[in-house]
Amino acid sequence: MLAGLYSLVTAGVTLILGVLHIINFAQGAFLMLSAFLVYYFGTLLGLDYFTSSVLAVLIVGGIAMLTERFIYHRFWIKGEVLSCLVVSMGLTQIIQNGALVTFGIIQKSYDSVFTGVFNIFGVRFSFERLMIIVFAYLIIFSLLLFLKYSKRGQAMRAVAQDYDAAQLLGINTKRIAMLGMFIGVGLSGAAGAIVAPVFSIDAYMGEFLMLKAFLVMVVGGLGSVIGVIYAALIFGMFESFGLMYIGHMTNVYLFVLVVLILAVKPTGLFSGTVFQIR
Amino acid sequence: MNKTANKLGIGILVTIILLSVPALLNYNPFYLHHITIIFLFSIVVLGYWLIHRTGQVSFAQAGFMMIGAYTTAALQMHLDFNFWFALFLGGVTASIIAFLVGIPTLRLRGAYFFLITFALCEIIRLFFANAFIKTFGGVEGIKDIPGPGIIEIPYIFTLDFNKTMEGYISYYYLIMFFFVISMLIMWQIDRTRIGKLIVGVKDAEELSESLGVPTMAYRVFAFVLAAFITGIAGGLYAAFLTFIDPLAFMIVHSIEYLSYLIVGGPTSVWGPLLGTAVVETIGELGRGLGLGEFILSGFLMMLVIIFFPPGIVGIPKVIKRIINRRRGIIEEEEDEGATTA
Repeated sequence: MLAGLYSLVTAGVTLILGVLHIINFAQGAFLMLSAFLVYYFGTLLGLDYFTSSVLAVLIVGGIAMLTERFIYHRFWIKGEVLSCLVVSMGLTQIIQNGALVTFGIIQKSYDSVFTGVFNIFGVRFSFERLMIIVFAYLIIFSLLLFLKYSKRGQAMRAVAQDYDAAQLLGINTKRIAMLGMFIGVGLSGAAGAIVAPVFSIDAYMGEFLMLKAFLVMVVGGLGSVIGVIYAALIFGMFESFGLMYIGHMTNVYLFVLVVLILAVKPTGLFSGTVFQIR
Repeated sequence: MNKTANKLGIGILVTIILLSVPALLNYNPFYLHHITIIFLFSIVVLGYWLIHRTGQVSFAQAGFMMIGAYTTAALQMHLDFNFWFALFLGGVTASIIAFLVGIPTLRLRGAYFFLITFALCEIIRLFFANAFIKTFGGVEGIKDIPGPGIIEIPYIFTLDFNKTMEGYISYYYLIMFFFVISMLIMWQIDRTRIGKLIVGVKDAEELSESLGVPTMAYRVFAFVLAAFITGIAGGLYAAFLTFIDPLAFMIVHSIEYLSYLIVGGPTSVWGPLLGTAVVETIGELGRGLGLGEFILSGFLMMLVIIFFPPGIVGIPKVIKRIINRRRGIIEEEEDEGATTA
């Protein structure tokens, strides 16, 4: 389950890194925002889970698109990566603490959507967690298909490879950049909507997932979506078993492991595989 | 000759002002505390400034501060170390961690450094919150951290860190002293060849590499030195507040320090001090905001980077340019080269 979640979050970051060549730290904040939106749509407006999820993803993606158009664009077009980072950090700060102030510090919990337990070979799974896995991989594979076969997806890969050349070929690069931002943040929004019924919702939930997303991204190789999926699998397994046998220190060991991997094979374990965006 | 005399005069003046600040504030503990905190955070932001000079942004500064604070506190309380030695070891530990992490990440181009330092900050926090709970106090943190005790130089001054009121003044002098030292170090770095090379590493990496400048070594050096200073600042923080817990060193705080730097302006050594002073003071005026302080700092940071990237230190330059342009319009007929030169 964790693996599916991580790959979903990381794929969003990777996509934006691939297309816009910037790292959007605000993804975690958007994830949290989406989870909160799902919660409030459900409790205040009485919408059902799926409608509110779709709405939340659209809203979050829309906000991100606006930030791209009005804030990020002027920086990344000139290659000022540092300024982009600073902006995304400021954005994170505002959204996260804004959420803390407006939504309160008490953790919210959304009612489970899927209930029930089933057995596979004597191991008990909750139906809910299975649905997370199914949805996460469904979204990821539709993203891969989109990038590979659709016209927009091909245009996006072209922009990722060479901005100027893509512009010369008549691709509306501005629109593609906005679309990339929309999809990238939309993925985190989807992740937020998916975890809303399972995890408790609080203002800092995004930060923890971003931490994992970054580590997964480094191991998977920057800019490779397939690498991210493999790396997320490894991470999810390591963490699930680690929490059982090692305890709270798992994350520390995991980090040391990542730094070692980086020292030995800096390009990540799975770089150069197919479906590389960049 | 005249220039050196001028410099000496300015130095003495600054020293006198810095020394007389407690008296000027009428020994008001609130203002003293505020100013001490400004100096303390300025040390951290100075470290940030050095890293920013090499063209990187580190998330891990709050983490290094945490290492310094916890090392200083734990060594004193459990192994009965001397304060000064514990403080030094706190800085050293932070810089060792920075070295170990910096070597593999700074070697690479691109985003690796940001990603890894982000993770590092959180990992350090998790470590101190979950590991060796007897030593580090777990989530509850460490309280009643001892300070440096009494420093006495006969007939000149006595600093008593144990009493409440005199403690405030003493801590002001102590932290101000460390700030001035780190400021001098950074100023020297900025002024001399190292500083020029560091800027070269940022602006023209390939060029400096082709000229035989070990770019990676400079980046690692900047990162490690920044971590050392930050670790020391963390130790001072622990002693000054006598209480630390894992919630005081989150990524949010790293971002806040970055906002100080951005608001102050990363181009000059004075940026960190000015930025910290301005943002902290604004935050203090809006004390009732609580968490709004973070929103405010994030907001200020974004405003500055979007509309006025040079920051506060850039203001005099802009004013000068405006004045020059006004004059330039008048003088244009006489001397065209004056404005461009």
